[in-house]
Amino acid sequence: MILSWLAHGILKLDRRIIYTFLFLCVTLPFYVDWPHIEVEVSKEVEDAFQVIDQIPPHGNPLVVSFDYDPASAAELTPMAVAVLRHAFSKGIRVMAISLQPTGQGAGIATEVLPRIAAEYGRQQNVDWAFLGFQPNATVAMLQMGESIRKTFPVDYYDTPIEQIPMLESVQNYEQIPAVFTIASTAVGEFWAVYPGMRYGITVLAGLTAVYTADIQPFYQSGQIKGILGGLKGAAEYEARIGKPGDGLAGMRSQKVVHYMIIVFIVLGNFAFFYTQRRTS
Amino acid sequence: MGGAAGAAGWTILGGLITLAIFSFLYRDNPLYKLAEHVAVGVSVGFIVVNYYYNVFKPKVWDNVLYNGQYDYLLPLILGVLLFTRFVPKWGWLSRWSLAFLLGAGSGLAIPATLESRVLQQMEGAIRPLFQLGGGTGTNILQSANAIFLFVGTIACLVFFLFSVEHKGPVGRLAYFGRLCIMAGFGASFGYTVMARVSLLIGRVQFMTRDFVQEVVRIFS
Repeated sequence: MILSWLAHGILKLDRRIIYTFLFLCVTLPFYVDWPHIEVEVSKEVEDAFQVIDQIPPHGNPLVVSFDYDPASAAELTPMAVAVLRHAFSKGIRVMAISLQPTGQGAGIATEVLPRIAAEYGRQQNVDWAFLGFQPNATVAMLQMGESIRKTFPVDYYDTPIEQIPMLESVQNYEQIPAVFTIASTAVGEFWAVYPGMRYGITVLAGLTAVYTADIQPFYQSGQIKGILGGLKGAAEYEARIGKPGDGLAGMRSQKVVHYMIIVFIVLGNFAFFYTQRRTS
Repeated sequence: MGGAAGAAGWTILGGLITLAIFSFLYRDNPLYKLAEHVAVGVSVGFIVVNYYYNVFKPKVWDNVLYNGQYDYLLPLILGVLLFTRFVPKWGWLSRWSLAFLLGAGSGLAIPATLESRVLQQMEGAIRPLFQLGGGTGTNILQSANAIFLFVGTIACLVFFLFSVEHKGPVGRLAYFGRLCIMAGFGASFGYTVMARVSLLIGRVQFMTRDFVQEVVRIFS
């Protein structure tokens, strides 16, 4: 009797009650010190960390490509921040670009890049440069293999690339130790497929969780040397560099919500099969 | 808007639009519609302005008018021809542009995709098998992983082999392939859930930290 009432109640549950539960599960962990989180750094993230960590300081720049739009910023900006903190803390120069098709990634880069550079006292055009946005990602990627100066004649702030001291010796991918693409679209994959294949560049990828499963075969085959998958990837990287940020802060909520979803899936299945059996 | 007051204004505006969008969870309403239309309009406006200043002006306008590089007129003409689709009588002209796009796109994509998505990944699925017998525990685990991956790949391919009846050993292999595909779907779904929750976490962080902070500051 109670089971029947419970099963029917679950099946008729107003979706707004579920939304309220979801909202509480996301919000409360920011105020309550529960549950305990232990972040274990995965091999994909460790590989990405090692590649960046081995780039010589004050030498050729790491390319960071902001290939995402504001819709994915909640997931991807924490990993951009973590990677930039790692690079700037070690004195690694950063050459940022944006190949996200709508160009909105450039807007995000102009907010994130100067902010993190300022944290470590890094100077524009000496320690970091933002070359801006180029449409048609694949063509831009391949053209950079021929000449970065022809692909980006001026930077985002209209400074001719010849006047940027940190890029004096940078001509093409031969001077680029690695490319870190932070992508919410197929642009992340394009880095491995086009310049990765043709010029043999080292590609690292920070991806939305939705896209991570699709890209995993590229990591397995060695075409991408390291992956940061979703907010969890950002949290792992933050833990690895020892600088907690929004990634680690969000993992507690992530854990509670996952518990909630599992409970609702179990309850939903119980209710469905219970009522099915009763009616048959 | 610029400066600290400007930043506060944008934060408040962002928070109010977020609340308007979330109001849809209760039911559809004019505030949600307004926020939705503003989001679409701002996105399209941004893209148009961005492409004008970062693409059309430096690549076409400046090059043709100030640098005398008239070869840039050719892609401009091809681009304009795409708009002839709006005039049924002249619509056929857009096929020239499409033919160029398809030809160039295929030429770029086919060899690279074949190499990257097929050949490299086939090699990646087989190569670690030869590391068997390395002696250390890690190698044994890695080899077991590689063998599982290899067998799983073959099983998935067998599942899609419709010219052979799925009975006996072939049927069992195809069934194992189906399990692998289901596991793949499960992983993708799990990642998708994590992604959507992450977006909500980002918004909640913004609302509880930045937005509330600004509102409290204004009213105190």
